[in-house]
Amino acid sequence: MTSNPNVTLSGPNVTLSSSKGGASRPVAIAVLIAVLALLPAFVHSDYLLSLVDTAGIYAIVVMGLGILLGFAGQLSLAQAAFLGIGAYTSGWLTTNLGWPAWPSMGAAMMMSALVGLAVGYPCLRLSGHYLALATIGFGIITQLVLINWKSVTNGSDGMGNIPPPQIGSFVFDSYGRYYYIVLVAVLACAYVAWRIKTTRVGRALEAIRENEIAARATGIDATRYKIIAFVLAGAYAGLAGSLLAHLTKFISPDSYSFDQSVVFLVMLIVGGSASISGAILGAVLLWFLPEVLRPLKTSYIMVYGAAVVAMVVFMPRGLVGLLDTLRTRFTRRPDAA
Amino acid sequence: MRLDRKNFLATTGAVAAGAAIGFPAIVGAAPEPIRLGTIPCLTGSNALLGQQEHEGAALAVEEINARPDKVYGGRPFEIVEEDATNDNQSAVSALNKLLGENVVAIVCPVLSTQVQAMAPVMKTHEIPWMTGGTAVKNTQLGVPGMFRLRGSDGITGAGMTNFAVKDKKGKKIAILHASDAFGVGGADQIVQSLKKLGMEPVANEQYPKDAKDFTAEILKIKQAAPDVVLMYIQNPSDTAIILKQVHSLALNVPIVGSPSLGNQTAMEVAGKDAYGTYCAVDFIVGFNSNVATHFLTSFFRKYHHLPDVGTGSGWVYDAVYMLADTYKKQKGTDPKQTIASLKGIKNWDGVLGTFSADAEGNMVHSVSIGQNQDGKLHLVKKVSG
Repeated sequence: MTSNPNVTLSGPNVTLSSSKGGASRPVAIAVLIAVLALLPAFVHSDYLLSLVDTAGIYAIVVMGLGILLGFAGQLSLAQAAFLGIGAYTSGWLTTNLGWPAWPSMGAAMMMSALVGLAVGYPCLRLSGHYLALATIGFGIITQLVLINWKSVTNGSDGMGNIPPPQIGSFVFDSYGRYYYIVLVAVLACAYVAWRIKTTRVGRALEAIRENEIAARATGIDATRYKIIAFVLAGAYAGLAGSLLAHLTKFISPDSYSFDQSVVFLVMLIVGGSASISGAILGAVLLWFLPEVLRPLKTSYIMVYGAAVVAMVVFMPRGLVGLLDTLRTRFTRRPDAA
Repeated sequence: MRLDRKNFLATTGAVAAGAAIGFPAIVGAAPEPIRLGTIPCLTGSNALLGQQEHEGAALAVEEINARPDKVYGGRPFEIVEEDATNDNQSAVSALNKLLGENVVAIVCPVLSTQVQAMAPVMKTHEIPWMTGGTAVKNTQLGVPGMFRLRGSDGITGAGMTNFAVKDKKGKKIAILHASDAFGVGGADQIVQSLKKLGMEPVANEQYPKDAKDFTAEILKIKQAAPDVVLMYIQNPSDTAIILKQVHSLALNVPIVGSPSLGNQTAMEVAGKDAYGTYCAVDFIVGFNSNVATHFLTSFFRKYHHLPDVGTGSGWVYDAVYMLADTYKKQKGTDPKQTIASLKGIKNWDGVLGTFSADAEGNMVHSVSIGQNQDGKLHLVKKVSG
């Protein structure tokens, strides 16, 4: 396999190398981060800030799924289950053992990553829809465990009074304050995903996605890399679950259903499955879309469904693919045609 | 009069002053509406319940606004409605949106799990929260101003169990319940009530959320050979399918269920398969006050179908009327004052019966056991917790 040393940020077929982006790219990213950091100064609505916080958390889950599906080509429909494992780990440690939120977040990440390892290993022989079925089974089992293991999870009553994180006496107990935790987590996760993609691991995952037999023939340890992808997807979802638990302060098994896993998958596909920015864009768009459509009352679900279908049909490479096409069209020089 | 600068200024000044003072009186400035928030589940698998909540609130507001004697200070009610959909996160978003809409009270979704998910936000806002969620925990969440307008699962579970054991002479009791907060909470109440009677269920089966086939659970219960089956289910469509499958799998023992077995939609969909079943309900047609009779008549006239009084529209209708009465009596809509007034509610007549607030905010303290006879519920007895 000929590995591509260039960074692919916005789609499997579009390279976004530093030579192409030039020096303007880091500046653009810095400006974007600055704008995002100033958001709570201009947005004071709890409603909007709560939506932004949740969208950011979902973006982390979808980035994790992107590593598994977009980078490695392994279809999983259990991302909500990993989210739940992270949420319950963090919730249990803080409410039962009195741990502070920060180490609980680390423990939640580790627990979900370990479960990812446990799920990834036996699923190695599976691929395509067989793998998808196995992960659906795992997701359903996880939800049933959350419902029935009452001594730990409190069953369907859920777990309440989960404390918000704090630094000294500064408590992240409002949507505006929590926003900064989410922002840092999203940026860190995006950076890690980007680093993975640009290193040997990312290229190996890409090779496995394109042709596993060929990848093995070139000496890539496909088994190891697929497990790594499962572990990373679990860790991302675990962190997101913990962040969600400390934001909402209440968790219940209803929120970690198969339906939710499908929503995460749709977010990734709509955004662009092999792209980090696509995962973020897809999560933000599909989380905000029903809210934007609220004035339509019950008809919103029809418009929402039609919009998703239209996006999948007319944007096969997702939102990022569309943006790339538009950028190429507008920046192409006349003599280059 | 000659129009010079001095006269012009004097005339326009006088006109402006007169307009400023007299204009509102002349045109009769519209009084500011009383904004009431509601969060029914209008989409998703519980939309049947949400639609009924929507209809109950809309009917109450229409009636109140049409009767000047019911409106405080001539101010009409205005409903600000947001869809709670089917998941907790969206319900919390809907709540956050409503809280920015200048509402003076909020009628919560009927799903207890959503009420509990919203609790951390509710705790930070001191306004009246009217709920129909029956999980015992709902009024123990530490939310100031939480009021429940239906019988809790504690009352319903104990009433169902006592009826099964004492009236139906059940010695082997089986339980079938949903795996959501409502189903599990209700089943726990039944188990506790059985324990008090020195008994344990011979089977205790739950089905996963959004299941459409219940054969495995029903057959497992049948294997345990119970003489009464107690069901604790929220969703009317689940209830109808289960009753049809119970009939087709020949589980021929008395069935005693939670309020959803008396739900109008569930009874219509299940048809003959629901005949003979018992349920613990908040309301039975034919055994009600003038308020309830008026509600049934008005509801049918407006919507051309019967209401699901207990689980759906009745408690919401009562909630809106109770708030209207409170605002009129206290001559204001201040949320803190309203909470204090609602805590003092005693013997208030509504569709679901007589309401009296206890220390936790529970307003209903008994339920009825009814039997489905040829598609209509008939009162068997009243039970209290």
